[in-house]
Amino acid sequence: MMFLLDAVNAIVLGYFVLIGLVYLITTGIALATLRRYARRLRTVDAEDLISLGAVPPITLLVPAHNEEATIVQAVRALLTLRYPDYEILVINDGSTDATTDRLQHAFDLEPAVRAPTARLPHAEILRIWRSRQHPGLWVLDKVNGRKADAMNAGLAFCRTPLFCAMDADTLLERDALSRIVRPFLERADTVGAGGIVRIANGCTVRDGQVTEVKLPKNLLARFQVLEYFRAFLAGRLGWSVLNGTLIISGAFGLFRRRAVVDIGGFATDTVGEDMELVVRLHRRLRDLGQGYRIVFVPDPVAWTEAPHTMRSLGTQRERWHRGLTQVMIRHRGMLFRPRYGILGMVAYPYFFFLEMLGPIIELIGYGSFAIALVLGRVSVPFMLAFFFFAFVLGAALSMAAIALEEMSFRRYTRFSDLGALMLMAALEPFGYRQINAYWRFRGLVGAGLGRMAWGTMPRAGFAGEPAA
Amino acid sequence: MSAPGSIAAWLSRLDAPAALLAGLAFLLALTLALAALAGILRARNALVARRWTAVERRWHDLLLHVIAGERPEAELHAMVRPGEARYLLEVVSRFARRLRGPERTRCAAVVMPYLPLLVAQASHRDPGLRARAVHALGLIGMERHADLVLDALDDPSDFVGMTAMRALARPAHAAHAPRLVARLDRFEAWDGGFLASVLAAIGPTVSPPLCGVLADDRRGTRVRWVAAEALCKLHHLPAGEIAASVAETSSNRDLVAACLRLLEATGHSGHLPVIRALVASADEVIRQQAVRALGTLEDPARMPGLVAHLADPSPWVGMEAGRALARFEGGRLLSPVAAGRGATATIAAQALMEARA
Repeated sequence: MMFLLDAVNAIVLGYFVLIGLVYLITTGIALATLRRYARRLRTVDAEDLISLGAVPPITLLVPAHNEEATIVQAVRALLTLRYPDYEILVINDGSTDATTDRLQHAFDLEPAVRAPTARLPHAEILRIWRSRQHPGLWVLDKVNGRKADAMNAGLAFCRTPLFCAMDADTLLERDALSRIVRPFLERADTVGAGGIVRIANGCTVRDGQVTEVKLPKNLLARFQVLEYFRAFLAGRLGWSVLNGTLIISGAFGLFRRRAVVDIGGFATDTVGEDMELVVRLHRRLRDLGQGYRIVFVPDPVAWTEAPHTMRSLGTQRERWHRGLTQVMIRHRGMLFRPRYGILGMVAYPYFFFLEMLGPIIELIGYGSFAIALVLGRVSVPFMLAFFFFAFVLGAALSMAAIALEEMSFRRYTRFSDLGALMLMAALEPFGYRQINAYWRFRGLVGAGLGRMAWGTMPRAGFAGEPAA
Repeated sequence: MSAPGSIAAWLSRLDAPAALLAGLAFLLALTLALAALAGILRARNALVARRWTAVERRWHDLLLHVIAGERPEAELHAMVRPGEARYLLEVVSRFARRLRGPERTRCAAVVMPYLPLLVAQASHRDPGLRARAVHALGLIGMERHADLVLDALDDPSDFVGMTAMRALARPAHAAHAPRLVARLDRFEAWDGGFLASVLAAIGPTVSPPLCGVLADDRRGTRVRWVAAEALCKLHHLPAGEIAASVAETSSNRDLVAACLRLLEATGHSGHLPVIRALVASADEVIRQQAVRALGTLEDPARMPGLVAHLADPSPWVGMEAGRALARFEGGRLLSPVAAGRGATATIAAQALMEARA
């Protein structure tokens, strides 16, 4: 019994030390990279790229399910993007509300013909519409099949070499496409690029564009601002520099159509279809011995509405972790396989053991440490020192993420926002971290039980945006 | 004792461990330092932004007059205080990006006394800073420092090299076109379409050296492919003969496809035998481009032959055939196919719809 307790405590300690170390390393790499990157960005002239006509055409794949409240504003915003050659393909995934009607009235849709360009499995297409006002806007009406199925339908009708995977409620900044396309110009072997996702709660939105960036008032949304800083500016950038990008957010990513079609499109039997696609791309291209690149780019921005209630946040986090677990289990063959390079030897093991199994270790750790304390297996000062250590480490990483934002993009310009973010960094370990671990644990269990539900998120809408 | 037990025992002994306290102190100091860094950065950035906004406001009206040729540059130089020269270079570069002709020349004249700053920066160890210097020199310092920009084509950093390439790829610097074309190989990793657009931005002067690259089978296939794409954008008619010859002899899919695109833009009926032969290629990309070229160049009497390609296993080939037939005699050959059912009918209907739009 005592042996087991000691073993568990040792594993928990090892976990905290390892995960802290990985975070510190990726944050350190991001700190070194971001400053150089921001400097380099000042040389890039997006307008010049556009005027040269040197950028490849892009199709925006916009899956929509019961989005009647926001779809018209979302599409209007997409129509104003500064990019010379793009199409918008809204895939109405069996909505039971007035999504199609809203689109039809707002954009004067007419029935149209469009031949598929690839054979990918997806639910039946019922009708195809095209806008009379905006010839680049198409709507595919299909039987419901969930997001991955909708993406496959869109991909089957995509005619451009690149496609942008996004959510219907994602607000892309006007220059987001001309920024995210750059890795594809600089390296012809780039097959995927992810942009940064930021939280729109609290910001002012006009005509589908964020016009004033402010921190949300809602505490949960504020915690998420900090989390997104850490995840994107420190985590994803660090992993990208190490050639270990395993996730491109489904809210905003650009892919080479051919590469995705060749591997059969999005997997429909997981709720983590965005991560699964990236992992499968890595796996297939490495197996084929093909040179390729999948990167994270920190300057193209997509804004999204974050969950602002415990229930919706819990549902989202549970689903994210369920998706992560499904992907990790499916591709476990990559684990510790030298043929996959840094992915197989470092990135995958990190996501498998530290991210996927993290919530179990963390929750068990709280319990076993308490038992060990009662049984006198660890001393009170040590226990306090350990928790203080974990707290300070978390705060240090959050501060580093805030500093990264300050030295690069500086979207939150008010001093009060900076203070509030620092306060969040101090508060996060007390309750928010633990509840997150619980939600993620539920995701792990859900994956084990084979749950596939998505859940719904009530939307508050964007501040300043008129109703549809 | 078991290994985990030993660890626990070792940890338990750390009641007042100097190591743990030192670790904690370090982390705490790091956290505070990072918080201070964020705060200092914020304050500094706000200060810098305020300062430069004020400086720019001070210069703005006079700078516009100088660029318009209404006031002498010396008046503006008198307003530039010590430490502000680098910012003036940045502001004027920003203007120069959007100006052409005499206004651009006047921008260059305004910053002439401050160019040594850019020259020094062009040899900085940070590639980002070097690229910025090369970019700015390309805009406002070419008159005196063209050699420096040309040398940057060989910079160890690809990004600096490409910045130089873009700076030089303008009609005003067309004299350097042969040198750019000669250095194409170093940018092989870049997107071919992008490179072709950059080269085409030079204008017709670049066409002869590009023809040389396309015809030279000792050059890399990718570089020849880029040359073909650029010539296609330039609609350089003499390139048609070279394209036909390369399409006939090359076995590289991308190069053959690019030559077919070039033939579509610059070819004539004499090239039809080459194109017709490639319509039967096993490669769908080559078939697609061959059908597309036929759609433009084919003898009207043989256009009905394209109907068979609507049913090609590749929808891309079918769509090109459909587009070609939709342009031919108002889609007369296509309408009966579109009235039918199945994939071919969809392709035909789509082509007719596109032609109407």
